Amino acid sequence: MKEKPTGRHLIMVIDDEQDVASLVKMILEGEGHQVITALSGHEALQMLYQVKPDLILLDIMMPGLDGMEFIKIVKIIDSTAQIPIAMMTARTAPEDRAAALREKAVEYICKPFTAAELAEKVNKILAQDNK
Amino acid sequence: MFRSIKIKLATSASLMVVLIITSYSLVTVVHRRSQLRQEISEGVVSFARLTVAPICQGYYIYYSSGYFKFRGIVAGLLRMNSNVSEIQIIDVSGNVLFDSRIRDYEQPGSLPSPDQYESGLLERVRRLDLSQQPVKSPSGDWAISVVMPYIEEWGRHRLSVRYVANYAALGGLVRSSIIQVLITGLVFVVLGSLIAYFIARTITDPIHQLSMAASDIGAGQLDRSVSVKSNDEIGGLADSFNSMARQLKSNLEALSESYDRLTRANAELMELDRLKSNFMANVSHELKTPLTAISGYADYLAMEKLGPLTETQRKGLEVMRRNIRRLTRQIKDLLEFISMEEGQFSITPGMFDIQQVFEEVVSNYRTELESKKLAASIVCPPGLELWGDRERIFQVVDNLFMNAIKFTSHGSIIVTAEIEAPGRARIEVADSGVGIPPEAVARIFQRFHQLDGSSTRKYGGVGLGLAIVKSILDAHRTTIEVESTPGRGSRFMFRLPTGPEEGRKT
Repeated sequence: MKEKPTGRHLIMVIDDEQDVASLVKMILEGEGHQVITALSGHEALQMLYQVKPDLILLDIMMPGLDGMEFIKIVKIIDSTAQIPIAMMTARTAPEDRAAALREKAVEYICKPFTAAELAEKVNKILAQDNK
Repeated sequence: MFRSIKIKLATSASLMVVLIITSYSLVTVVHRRSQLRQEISEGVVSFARLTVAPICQGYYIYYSSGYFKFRGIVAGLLRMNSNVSEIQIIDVSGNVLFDSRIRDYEQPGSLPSPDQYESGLLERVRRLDLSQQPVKSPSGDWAISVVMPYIEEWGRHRLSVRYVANYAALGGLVRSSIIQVLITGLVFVVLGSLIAYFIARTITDPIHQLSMAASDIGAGQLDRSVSVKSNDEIGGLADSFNSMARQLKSNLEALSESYDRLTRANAELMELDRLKSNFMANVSHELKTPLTAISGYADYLAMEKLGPLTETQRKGLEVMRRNIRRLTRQIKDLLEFISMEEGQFSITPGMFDIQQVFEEVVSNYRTELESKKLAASIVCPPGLELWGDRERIFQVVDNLFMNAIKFTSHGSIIVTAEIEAPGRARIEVADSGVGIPPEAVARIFQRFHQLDGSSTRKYGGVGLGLAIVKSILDAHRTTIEVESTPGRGSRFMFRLPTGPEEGRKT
């Protein structure tokens, strides 16, 4: 769309809603990124043994391992602690936002988001990360 | 410590006994003393009546010779009354002719003048003479003197006899009576103290029991009662104490029962509260997730990322997107409002650029403005920073702006921020729309309110926007004001401080 970030980035999208996961995958692939999706926290943890994404987009409300538990686990494992994580959630209460930022989430994207908003925020994080 | 009342009672009782006995014995001793004195002087007077004649006749007989014989007779007479210690013979002018204390006279006929052996006693005796008042004798004893005239034949009176009696015997008698009184007193004191002690015990023992029971109850033994069987005040106290203990126990039981009930109710409420906020989170999730998917794909389609669109397709897609935005807005307002009603609402103030807020709001509504052919302008000093919760203030301006668009069919909308007074800025959203009738101004900030039932259908929305605005501004401790002329337009205003210090002042 606008200027593309340097190089292709690998982005992991974790959302139990297949439709949302596909939408995000589509938007970000449109931005020129490589996207892998996981439909649960457990599946995502399995995948993290094989791949090391540049960014994780994480839903909070998921059955099984939820987003807040997932981020805690990722942040205490050495090999994954450095991966930036952006929350992507329907919970808009300031307490939820504060809790996520305490867990070192880099961004808090509220659903419903527009395609342009999502692309802009993701590109901003990746640009900062490249510096 | 519980003995003290007994001791106090016993002590005061013994003190009283001591006082009574002391005053009684004082009175007794004084009375006995004067009685004895009376007896002695009466004895001396009758002795004098009996002996005055033989003494004076003997004196005449032995005047020129036989002084020692006379002395012997006087000594014999003196032995008859132990109280009389001295006998003097005096002439009418007061000269002492003979004194039984003086042993040796060379010549009885030439008796020395009183001055030669005058003692304090004799001087005083002369002055007091017939008064019979006690005087101090040279030996230090109290004494009385009785002067008895000797009347000869033909009523002639040449000599008088003075009898001096001392009270030496009196002292001993008084002393013994004092000792008697003291012994009786001591017995009374001991008996009195014992009686007082036992009386005190009958009072203090029940009090002791009561105080033990009270401290037991204080320690939590509520079954405790006192067994004092008497019909006096202490018995009454014990009865009231027992009924108080029973009352306390039943009150405490009732209290702990209602405490349990309250704890259970509170736990239920907390559980309910937790369920409710879970439910709210789920509702929020369930409403927003599908909306995210729909709006995302619609946006993506409109961007023509998935291929070019025909004009009809584009128009249809625009209608979809407009209604998605409207739905998104309503859901957001509704959830926001519910969380405000729940009290889960707080602001995190900071400094923010108001112009940026204005620009963001206006650009969000570009499509609506264009479709209604409305002009929007921002009047704001560049770089003006205000103190408040940026997200919340954004919501306020957004709501006011959206309302302005909704109720304006032609003309313009002006968003203004200006320094009104040092430290305070005024923010205003003015439109040229239908306006609000004066009688309705107060009602528009009530939730669920729109001007009339039909306006809901005409203008859309559920009437929560201004209620949310009011809540947010309340949290900022500021108020919203409205000026409106029906048919001409409305102005919504509120004020914000330019820094945390100014914010605290207002």
